[in-house]
Amino acid sequence: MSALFKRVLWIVLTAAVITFNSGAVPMTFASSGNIVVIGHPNLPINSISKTDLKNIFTGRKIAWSGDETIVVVILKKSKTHDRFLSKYVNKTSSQFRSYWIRLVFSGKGVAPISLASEEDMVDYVSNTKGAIGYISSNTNNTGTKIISVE
Amino acid sequence: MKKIMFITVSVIMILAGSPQAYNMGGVDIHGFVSQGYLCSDDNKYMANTEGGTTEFNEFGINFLSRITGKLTVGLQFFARDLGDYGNDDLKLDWAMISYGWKQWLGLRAGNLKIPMGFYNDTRDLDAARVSILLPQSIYNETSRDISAGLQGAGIYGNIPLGFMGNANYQLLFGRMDTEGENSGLYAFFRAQAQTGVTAIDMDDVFVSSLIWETSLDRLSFVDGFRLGWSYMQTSMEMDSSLTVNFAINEATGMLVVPDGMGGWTPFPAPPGVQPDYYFHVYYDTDIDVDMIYDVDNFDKNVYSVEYVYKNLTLAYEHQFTGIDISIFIDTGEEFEVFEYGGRPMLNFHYTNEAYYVSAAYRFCEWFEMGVYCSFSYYDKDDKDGEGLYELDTAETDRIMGADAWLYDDCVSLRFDLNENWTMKLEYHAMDGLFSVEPDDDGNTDKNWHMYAAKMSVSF
Repeated sequence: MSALFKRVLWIVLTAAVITFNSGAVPMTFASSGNIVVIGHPNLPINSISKTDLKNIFTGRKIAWSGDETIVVVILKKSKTHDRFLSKYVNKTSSQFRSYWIRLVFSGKGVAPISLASEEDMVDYVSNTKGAIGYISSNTNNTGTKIISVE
Repeated sequence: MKKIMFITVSVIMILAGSPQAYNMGGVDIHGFVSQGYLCSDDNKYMANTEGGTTEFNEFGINFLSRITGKLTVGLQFFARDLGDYGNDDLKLDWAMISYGWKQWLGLRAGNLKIPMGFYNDTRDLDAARVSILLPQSIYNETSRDISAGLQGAGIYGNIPLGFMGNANYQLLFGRMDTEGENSGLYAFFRAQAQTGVTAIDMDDVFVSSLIWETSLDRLSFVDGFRLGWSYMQTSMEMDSSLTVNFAINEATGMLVVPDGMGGWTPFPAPPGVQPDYYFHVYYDTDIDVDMIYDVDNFDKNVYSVEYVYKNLTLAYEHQFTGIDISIFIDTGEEFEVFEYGGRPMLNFHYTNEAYYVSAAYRFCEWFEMGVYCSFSYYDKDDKDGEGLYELDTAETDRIMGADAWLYDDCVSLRFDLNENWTMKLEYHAMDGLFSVEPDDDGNTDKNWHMYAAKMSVSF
């Protein structure tokens, strides 16, 4: 057995063991829904594709049609934040944070606005041109536009 | 003094309050500070690690502002200390203006980070990974300034590929700052040429990067898969000096030098010519020789694969660094006869090969574990170091041939005390001596171990 093979085998076995333990401490949430994407009332869209939504929250798409800045708004650590990331961005909150750290410290992206509560999210999105965010479906969304995800 | 300043600034920044991003007048301010400890049981690796060293820290602060929806400007200052490298000199790490005309086409100009491999442009940021040291086979810290950034311009974009996902590309063109004699570039060539390097003049640098990412919509079962290729090409002239004890083979008139075993060997040994130990030396002296290494081509290819599934991240990267060198010799007027009439004394080509495989798993919000196996070879066509064995001399205690490779098996533990504070512990089992320095007594050990610890704050 070559040294290379032993090393690769060691890595694969280690990865397998820790993967099978993944149920012990759940870090991701089932895509159970109950997430509503909201935007500023004057946003030029009423619906958005999953791909575009992911592109916006990963900093690839930075402007709406025309030159209006997309203002990405996220929640700080919360179940709604974790559910949104799991359902639409396919990242855990730690992966999402690492991803944005990489963009920010390489100059390739301006970090999203991070807010502490869903009420703050609604207030900020309703008053900020170009803003897009998310809340749980049982949060009052007055003043924002509901954007359906296709 | 610089160390004291570094610690003072760091403590003030940390004690100023809960570390978080700041926004002043539309300018986002982010930063990071880290302090580490490296210790090896034998040899020196990147710093004076035998017995332990705290000369291992980084500091960065950046300012980023979106002027309009498509126009972004920013800059980052950075300082680091890693043994003899950096010495906490504050420098402009990157500064750029970026215009994203369309999602698929944008323009960047300024001092730009180089996208070699998946992790090069964030290699200084401890919070972005599980390990303390990125696999040194690809992300060698001692040669950071060869691959960290360039001054120039480029285009970039993200191209939607429908159900195939999307492709990210970057094309950059510019020049590198070699940072002077204490830079990693000088150290890199000192190690490669095994002589003192006095000056390096680099030509233009071309960099390209292409990354394909799978899509969420149609291929959800493989979402999280990335495949990348990055390429860098440049050329340079490197001047070095050394003192040679030489003589002339009376029979052949050939320039010869001591072979370290009491005899003499041709300098250099032309192909097919065997050393002649039996001749009368009629001239024997020390002379100062200026060597000019004309690196006609320096190119690097990195092939990268990454797969993220829930909390598991797997990665594999493979790098080839090709180097074509012509060596010219200048012995001064007195010994002009030994020069080669403007022709290179020696031409050769070799290719460094390096790769690693890694796995990382986040068990919970505050704990993540990672492993990687990293492999480096001085010459992909001489992985056992047989050629180096022939060149090596008996005057050192270096293990014959082991200069040709370095294997690094690493285990890392990451503890996130909160979103901003991170503590890490790491163990490396090493085999080989490529890029490794002897200890203070001049001894080396082929099989050795290294331990590392690091505390980081980012905001």
